[in-house]
Amino acid sequence: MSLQLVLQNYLASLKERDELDALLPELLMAMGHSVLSRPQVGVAQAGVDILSSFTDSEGNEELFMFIIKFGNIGREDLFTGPQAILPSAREAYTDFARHRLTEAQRALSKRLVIVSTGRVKQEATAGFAGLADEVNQQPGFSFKFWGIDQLTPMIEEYVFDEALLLANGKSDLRAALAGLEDSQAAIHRFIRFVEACLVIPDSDSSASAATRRRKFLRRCAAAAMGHGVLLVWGRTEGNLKPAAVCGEYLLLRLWAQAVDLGLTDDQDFRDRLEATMGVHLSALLEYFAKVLPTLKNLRALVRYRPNPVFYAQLIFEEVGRLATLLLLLQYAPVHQGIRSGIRLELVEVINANSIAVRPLLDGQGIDLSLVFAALMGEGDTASCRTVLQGMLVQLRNALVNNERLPVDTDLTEDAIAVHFTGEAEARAFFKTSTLIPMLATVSGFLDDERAHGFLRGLAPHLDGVALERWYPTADLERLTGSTLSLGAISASRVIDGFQSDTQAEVQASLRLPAGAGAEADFRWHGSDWEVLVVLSARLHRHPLPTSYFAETLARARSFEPPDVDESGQPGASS
Amino acid sequence: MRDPDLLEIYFALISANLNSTDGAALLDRLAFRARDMAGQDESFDFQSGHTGDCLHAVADSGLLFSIALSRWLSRDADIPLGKALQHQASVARLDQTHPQSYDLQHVEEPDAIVAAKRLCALAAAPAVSLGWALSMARQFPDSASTASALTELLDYHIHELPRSTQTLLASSESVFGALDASINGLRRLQESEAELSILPHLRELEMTADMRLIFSTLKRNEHREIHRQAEERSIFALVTRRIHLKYSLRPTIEVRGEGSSTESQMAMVSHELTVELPLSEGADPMLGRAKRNRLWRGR
Repeated sequence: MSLQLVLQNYLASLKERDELDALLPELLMAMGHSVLSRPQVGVAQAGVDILSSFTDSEGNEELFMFIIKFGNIGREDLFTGPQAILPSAREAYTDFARHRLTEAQRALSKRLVIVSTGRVKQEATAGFAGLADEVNQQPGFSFKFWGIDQLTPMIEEYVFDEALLLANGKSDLRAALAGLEDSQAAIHRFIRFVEACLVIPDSDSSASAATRRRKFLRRCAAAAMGHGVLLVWGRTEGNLKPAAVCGEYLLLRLWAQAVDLGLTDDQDFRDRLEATMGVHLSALLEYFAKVLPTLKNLRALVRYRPNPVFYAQLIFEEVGRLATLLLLLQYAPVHQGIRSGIRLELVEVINANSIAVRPLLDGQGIDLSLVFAALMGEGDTASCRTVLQGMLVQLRNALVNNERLPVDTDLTEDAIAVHFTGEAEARAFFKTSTLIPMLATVSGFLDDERAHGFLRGLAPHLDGVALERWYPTADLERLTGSTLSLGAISASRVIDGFQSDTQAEVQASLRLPAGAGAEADFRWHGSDWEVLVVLSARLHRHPLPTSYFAETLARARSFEPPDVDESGQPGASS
Repeated sequence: MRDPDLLEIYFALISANLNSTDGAALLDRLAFRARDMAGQDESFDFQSGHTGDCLHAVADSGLLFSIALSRWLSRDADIPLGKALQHQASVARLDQTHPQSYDLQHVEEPDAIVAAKRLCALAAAPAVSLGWALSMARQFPDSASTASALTELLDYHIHELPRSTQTLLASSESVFGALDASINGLRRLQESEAELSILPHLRELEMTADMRLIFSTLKRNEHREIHRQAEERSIFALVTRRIHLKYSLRPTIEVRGEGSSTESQMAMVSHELTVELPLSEGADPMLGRAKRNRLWRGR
């Protein structure tokens, strides 16, 4: 359904001339029609924009005469003006049928089809029925209406590919589809496609605000449609990952441009964003339905990633993505049963992969912070505490034995040197930690004095390690697609050890350092779109802001308490 | 190290008709001498000289091996010798496709259990460690402590070495085919294999191009290191001429003599040995280490 919504938004954004009338012949050919004539500018067409013929499986040939109408159809569109439908229809079954068809064509049965990117308005239904009757009474003629509700399923079935795109980015979308075998390449090309779609021409700077808004909505619709195409093609090519990743990029990029244009509160924009989120959620649910059984089978996973460093990268990436899905669902109107199912799956994946509590890279703490937030959002503090406890034990072992510490550069080569070949000196890549301050913050929000005390006990082993607690500037919302670096949107505080208790740790975690953006500075603050910060953390690899844990806990209180039992808690791995 | 006492022990060990009592006494002499020599020289190599010869003889004898391994791996002072013996046995049975049967009738049950767990902890060849565990099940069928240890040992083999364990248990040469532990273990592995086989191939989880590149470099380095060490230790390499070819698998070798040359064609045959690493080595080596430490301590 979300896919059709995205497609409807896209079709509604098309112009009649050069766009809808260029798309329709593509659709007809994909449906097996022979297109006999196409729209021509400046040429009298005797009412008919496109003529095609179709021969069914039994050899019966039929002629189709199309009249294209842009937007919704009201009374005026039917009866008045130079482009009115009724006069065009009459011209079609008289002038066109008598003078522009061959004798053989005149003998065929003919369908007169009104094509529209909208719907028939209430005020025009009676007139429209009259028109249908009038056409149906003509010998050899029958009447059809292809409005947006009829067009979208046909387009989805027959021409859901890059041919739908008529302007910018077509070649990049085509390249993304062609490269679906390689997730990274497809993601890279899709990002280029989104950027090509969303480029603002210089001419727009002199346009009115209304025009800029309309063009922005058109760009949003085209990019979202491309994402839908990527998802559909990902199914047939057997690779859903590009759509699952690119959905995140697209949502963040649309928001970033809306921030730049001051349109984040525009209802039409939010409708389009909502539709894109719907497609993204479908993509994620479909993705995990496919990969979850494998994520719980260690033997299968090691076949894909026959090296502990690569295996860990896969597990943290997938655990982070699954947690993101759970967080997104917490903002969506879905049944709690679906969320409970995803929560249990998350716990099972963690239990099946002991590495999930022993991050090899400091940046893998980001994925774990998403796990904590997702479980907190479900009110499952018991699982949070178990995961936290497991992580702390592993961290203590690493610190005490001075081996296999989380690599602060987040580079694969460094991780291999530390965790696989052992070529690197124990603390060569353990100068900074954002993971450890995150654990302190989480223990604070969980009010877990035991875990917090345990962490305080590790302080003597942290000499010379900068404990960086991360906060974003307000520019975080504009990061996607911009030239801003992560450093430019970061305002960290280097903490001098831990607080004396959990309450103090929470207060310290929430206290903003100089330069950090206050909650009210973010356009998504106070709306459900604050969830975009989760996507940003996962995609751009920055920590989750500490304030998000507070919001998550507050949101959890609005849900029914989850049905948490012992079997649903992580345990075996920790 | 050449030592007349060890040489005498060696000849006694390889003599025929050695009974368990005499054998045990000889093994104690060997252990005493080895401890003594190791005490004098910190870098003492148990695999070399007459000690190595003795261990080879012990590993070759069904009667002596089980007595020696169970004693040495369960006595702190003799653990280095037990490890060296385990190494001898593992090398000898690295490519064996059926579990080795051991005669444990002269072995105390607690020592046998400790040795079984420590064989796993030392990553012995699966034919040795699984063979020992199943031999234990056969020797002490009514013992609760053996049953409990066997569960732990089979779990280790099934989780950590599934492919090798399945091959060993399914082997027609296995003498343990009728044991419940063998039957149940094989059934669990077949179920796990069936689960694995129905999982689809997922492009979504494949390594990235960067990872593939790094991985192939790591594998190449690993292979080269294995070959380098093998060549360094090879006695065969000292008496043979080595020729490396880029293309042909059936080269003609030209040998020039005085005024004439001869040619002979040589077909090359490939030789390779695949060893299954514990599953945790590819996923979470720290977990594997923790499991093996637990087994080592599990008295």
